[in-house]
Amino acid sequence: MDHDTPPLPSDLRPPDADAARTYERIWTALHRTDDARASSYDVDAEWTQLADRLNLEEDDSPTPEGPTTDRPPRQPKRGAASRVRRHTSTLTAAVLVVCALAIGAWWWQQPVSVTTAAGQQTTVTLPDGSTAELNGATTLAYGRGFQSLPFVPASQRRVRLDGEAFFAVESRDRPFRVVTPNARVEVLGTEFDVRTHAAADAPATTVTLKSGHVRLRSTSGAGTAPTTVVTLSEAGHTSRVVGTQAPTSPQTIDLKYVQAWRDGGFAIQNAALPTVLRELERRFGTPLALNVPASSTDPMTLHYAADVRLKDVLRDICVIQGLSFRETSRGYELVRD
Amino acid sequence: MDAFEAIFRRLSEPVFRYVCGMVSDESLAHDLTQDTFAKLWTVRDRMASVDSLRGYVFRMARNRVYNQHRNARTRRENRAQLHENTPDASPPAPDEALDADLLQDRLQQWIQDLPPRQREALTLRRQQELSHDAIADLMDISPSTVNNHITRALKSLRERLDKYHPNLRS
Repeated sequence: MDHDTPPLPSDLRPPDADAARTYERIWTALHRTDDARASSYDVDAEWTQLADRLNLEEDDSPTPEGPTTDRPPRQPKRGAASRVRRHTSTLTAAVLVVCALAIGAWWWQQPVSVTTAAGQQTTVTLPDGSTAELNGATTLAYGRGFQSLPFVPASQRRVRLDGEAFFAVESRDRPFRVVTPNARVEVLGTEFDVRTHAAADAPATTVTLKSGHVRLRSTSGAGTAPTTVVTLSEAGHTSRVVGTQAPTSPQTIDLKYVQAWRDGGFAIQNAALPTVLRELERRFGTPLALNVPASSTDPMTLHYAADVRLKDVLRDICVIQGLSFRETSRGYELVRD
Repeated sequence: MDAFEAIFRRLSEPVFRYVCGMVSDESLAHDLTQDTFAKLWTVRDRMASVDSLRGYVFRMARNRVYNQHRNARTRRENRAQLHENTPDASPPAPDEALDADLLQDRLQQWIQDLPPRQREALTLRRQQELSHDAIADLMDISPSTVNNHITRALKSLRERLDKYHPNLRS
């Protein structure tokens, strides 16, 4: 068989030729098994493993023993070397504890983050009992337990928002802050909606109040000047921060427009068609493409109070804008008839 | 350290082959090989040339193998002896019998059923690392007894092969 298989040694060859053939066969088969096993033996890996092990056992006192006896019990070494080693291990333990604490503190500092996919909605109960209802494609992050360290309350209840959420804030002595990419909303106890979106390539944040008071300020630019702070104090008050500009002065809108998404509906007021489509994508999680120039379409207002299907919304949009829509491999596209 | 590494690289695979022949479990064979050289490290001050070492290393490996067998036997006996020796596999279909890999598998099983000393003589002689005399020395028997062991082992393997499938001999 194998050309490099050593033959059966001649002193083992039986006189009977038939038996000799069989022995040879067995011999060869055994060799093949040996070779198969030895091929799995990686001498480098074995050496690395042994070297590791011996370093650990290096302090075993060499025993001048005969080969037929077993390994003797380890003899503890006395003297300076072992004292140094003991100190080293104490130090190692201390370093490990410090590291564990540091990692724990770092972990504590990491915000809790909740993200919804497009088309998904969820309600988050915050550590103080306040709630945030998240619309689709939204991320909400907040400090663990609203605490700066374990058992140490932070000076403010701070959440970070990208997307849209409706907040119902429990009244407490600590201010509640919603931070968006370009604005900050401060409240004490109230219900309001915050929506971030892109308006003409700049981030935008729209806040609409349902009850209580909130203060809105821009975080970019000259953020502390009083003119950049707008207080919303009446139901339906809404204000918007676009890019680094100051918040717009409060306007009153019908609350149904910010209420709709929470009831499974959809609403938008006086928005350009591309903005409407982006909001629909957020709400339904289906990609929508506009295949006509945005300038050839009109701003529009839509309101569906409760459960609505995307197709129904698209049909209505197309009637208003004089377009038609068709299904694509990913979602829908709007085209001119 | 360098000398020790050289010895390890030269002898660890032959030792592994020997241990493999003696214990069926391959990972156990790895462990026993490692143990052997870890032990050698503790007596490294007394190492001379590789040649004189060879028998010495194999003897250490052998001690480990036999300790292992003894421990395993004790464990087995402690358990209630519910299982007798595993019965022979039933004769396979003719075309199955022709499969050389299958023959190897069967042989491996039968090897485990051989008396340890027969198996040992057969394993050591096969890998040609130790001379005939060195094997005799290692096993504390005469060279002719080594051959007797091997011949008896080959004979019983042949008988089982005959029983397994007579045609295979031709």
